[in-house]
Amino acid sequence: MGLAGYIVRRSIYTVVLIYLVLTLNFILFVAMPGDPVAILASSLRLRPDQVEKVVKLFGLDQPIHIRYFKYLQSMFTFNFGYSYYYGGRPVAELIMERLPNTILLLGSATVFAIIAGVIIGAVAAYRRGGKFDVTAITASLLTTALPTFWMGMIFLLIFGVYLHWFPLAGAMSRPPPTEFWSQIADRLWHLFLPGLTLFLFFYGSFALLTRSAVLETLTEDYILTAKAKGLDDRKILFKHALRNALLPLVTTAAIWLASVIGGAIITEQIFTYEGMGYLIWMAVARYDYPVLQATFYILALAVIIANFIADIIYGFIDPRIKY
Amino acid sequence: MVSSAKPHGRLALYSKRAKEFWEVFKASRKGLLGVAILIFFVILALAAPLMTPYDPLLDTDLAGFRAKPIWLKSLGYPDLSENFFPIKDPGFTSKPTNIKILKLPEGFNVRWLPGDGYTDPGVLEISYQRLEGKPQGLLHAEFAIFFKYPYKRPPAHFKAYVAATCNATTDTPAMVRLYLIDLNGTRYKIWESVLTQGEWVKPQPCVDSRNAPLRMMMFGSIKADPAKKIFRGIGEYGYMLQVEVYDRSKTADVKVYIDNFDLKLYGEAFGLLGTDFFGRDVFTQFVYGARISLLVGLLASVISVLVGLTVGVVSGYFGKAVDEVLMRFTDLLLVLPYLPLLLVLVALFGQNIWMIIAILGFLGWMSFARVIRSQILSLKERPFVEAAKAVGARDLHIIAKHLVPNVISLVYVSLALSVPSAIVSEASLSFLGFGDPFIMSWGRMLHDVHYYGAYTDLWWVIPPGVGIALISLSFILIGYAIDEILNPRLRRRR
Repeated sequence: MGLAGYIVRRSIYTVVLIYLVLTLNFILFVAMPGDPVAILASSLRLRPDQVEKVVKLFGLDQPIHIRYFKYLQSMFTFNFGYSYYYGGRPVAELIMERLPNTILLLGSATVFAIIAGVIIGAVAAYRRGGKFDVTAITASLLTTALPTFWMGMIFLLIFGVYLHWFPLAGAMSRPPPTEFWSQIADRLWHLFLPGLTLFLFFYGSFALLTRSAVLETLTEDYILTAKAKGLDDRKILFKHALRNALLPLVTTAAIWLASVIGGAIITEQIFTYEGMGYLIWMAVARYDYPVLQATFYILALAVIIANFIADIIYGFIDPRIKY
Repeated sequence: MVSSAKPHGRLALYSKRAKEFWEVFKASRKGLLGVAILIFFVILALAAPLMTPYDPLLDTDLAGFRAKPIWLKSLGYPDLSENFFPIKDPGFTSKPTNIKILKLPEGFNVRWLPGDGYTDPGVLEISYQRLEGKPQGLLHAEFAIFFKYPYKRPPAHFKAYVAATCNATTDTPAMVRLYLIDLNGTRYKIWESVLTQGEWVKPQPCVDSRNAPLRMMMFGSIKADPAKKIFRGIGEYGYMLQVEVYDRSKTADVKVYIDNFDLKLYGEAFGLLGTDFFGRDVFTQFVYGARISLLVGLLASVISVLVGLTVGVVSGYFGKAVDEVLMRFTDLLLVLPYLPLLLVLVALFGQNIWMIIAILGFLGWMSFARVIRSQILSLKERPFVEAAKAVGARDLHIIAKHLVPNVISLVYVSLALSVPSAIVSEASLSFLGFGDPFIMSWGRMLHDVHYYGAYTDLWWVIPPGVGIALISLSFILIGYAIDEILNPRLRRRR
């Protein structure tokens, strides 16, 4: 079997995984406590006859298997129904409102964390036991061990409360500036503290991972060869050792996405940053199942697709892999 | 049967191994640091009841709300007030000596009775008798306890108590009033009530300076703080009781009984780490928080390692359909966003610490199961397994005697390394408000700080965060040290 066969197999596996996630997602929320209709009725202040209509609208009066199929259909079409809590607004609309903020936050923090982590990890591995190594390991361990929310709180305290450099809450000013560039600047200004928090939380694991991977590759024969050829340290480290060490990092980073999202929830909670994490937190607290189901599904889908892509990329960049 | 070694012989072997392990472990500075930090927190957790007499959750109102730590007084805030309870014997359990009689019109008599009281034996009796002559109208008897208030700044708030009853009739009604007397002698009425016969009358449950109606009555504004207005600095203050008798009929014979005569001034500074928004001791919360973190971390880690080991071994050893099903399930759990899943499961199964531990344990085994599975996959092809199979060993025997002992070093490492994530996860849950409502954990302390916006109380913000970080760090350090010893591949190759 060649690459094509591998991709087909991975695709089938991915689809099965998505289906499993969908089903679990359904079961979880059917089993959840709390009467959603009561929540909705109180949030919209409905009369009893209106409640009946709402039950029909959300399809809550139908038998469970019909609801299951309707649910599957709605998930595949990304038409997630209506929120119980946010006055019956379409869930898709809510998500589209929040998703860009989270992507911006998670994306920027992750990209910077990977770059910084890989460089720090590689240099630390190369100078194993030296001052830089010890400092880097200690710092990485410390920032990974420190709870995200605590770091966020401390930043909020120092830069927000004491120094007034950055805003205390929100993803943008209200009302937002009208001019395009100042709007961008405003966004970045609000992004900085939550981004920094997540960055510090992330880079440590990448630094440690890279360090151990590079340590592994540094013992390989081709490094000795490179040294014997008289290549300078930088070239050996970044061209020979790091390149090979990075291969396993691709898959780790993809799987890692699932746990990263938790960091986002907490960070968004601290900085009241209106993203997916904040949406999820509100949805759990308010038993807003349609929103929860949809956000759950979207996040899981993101992780699954990231894993799929990582698998495929891995196949391309590691010539040793045979299918 | 198989185990030929006698029990104590085996024990000796284990202790020898442990000793050898310790010899190597001692050489690892990081490992020792981890053990030292861990021992510190274990002692903190075990000795919690010895270190603090309070309950982290239930003992509210220990001092003023959001009180500062006491050591701040020697760091530039010497004027902060502390808890000050000037009344030594509020229940009159012995004959009072410090009560000053300010006013005692003719016909009044005061004495102390050792018998019945409000809650404890001993009561003050104030009687008024007039058998002949004409009615005297309104009569006041006044008693006060004076005390020296030693702080420049006012108390955070005060509470005043009294319990009074009488045998008065409608012919000669009686009243009691409570006053505070400030350092200039000005009187502030804080409570009054008509007495009823045979019933203890008291403020419900006390006169509290934070009470809005009281503020309205005293100063006509809910913003005016009686504690600040009255206690304006060091000086002599008094807590006064006024008994009013309306002598209006032919004869009068009234007996008024006073008990539980108490005044409590709550300080702005309290304890090692101050208090929270309910006047609970933050230091107590911190000390007991170590228990929760250790408990959650260790138990959840044991569960997740056991589950991971079982899944990994079964999946790796039996292969085929079993492997496929188990690994797909593992993948499923791995791609689900961890914290949202945790939130939903906790909301689903209940916010109870044992449930949270179980959920954390059952969500933390996946990557360990994968590692074990890959190890087992290679181990089961080794000759010793083949040999065991050839002599007819059963699967369970091979797993228990040949496979598991070979991956046990990974178990130890994973035990140590999965503690921090469980601790941080529990803290995150509590921080988000989904922890056990009957337990004060470090995460919940930070939740409270965030919820009430008490960020500037550094003594409240910093300890829980540092605690979580240090416990996590200690397990990480120990885990790495064990890893380097048990997995020689990682030993220094210099």
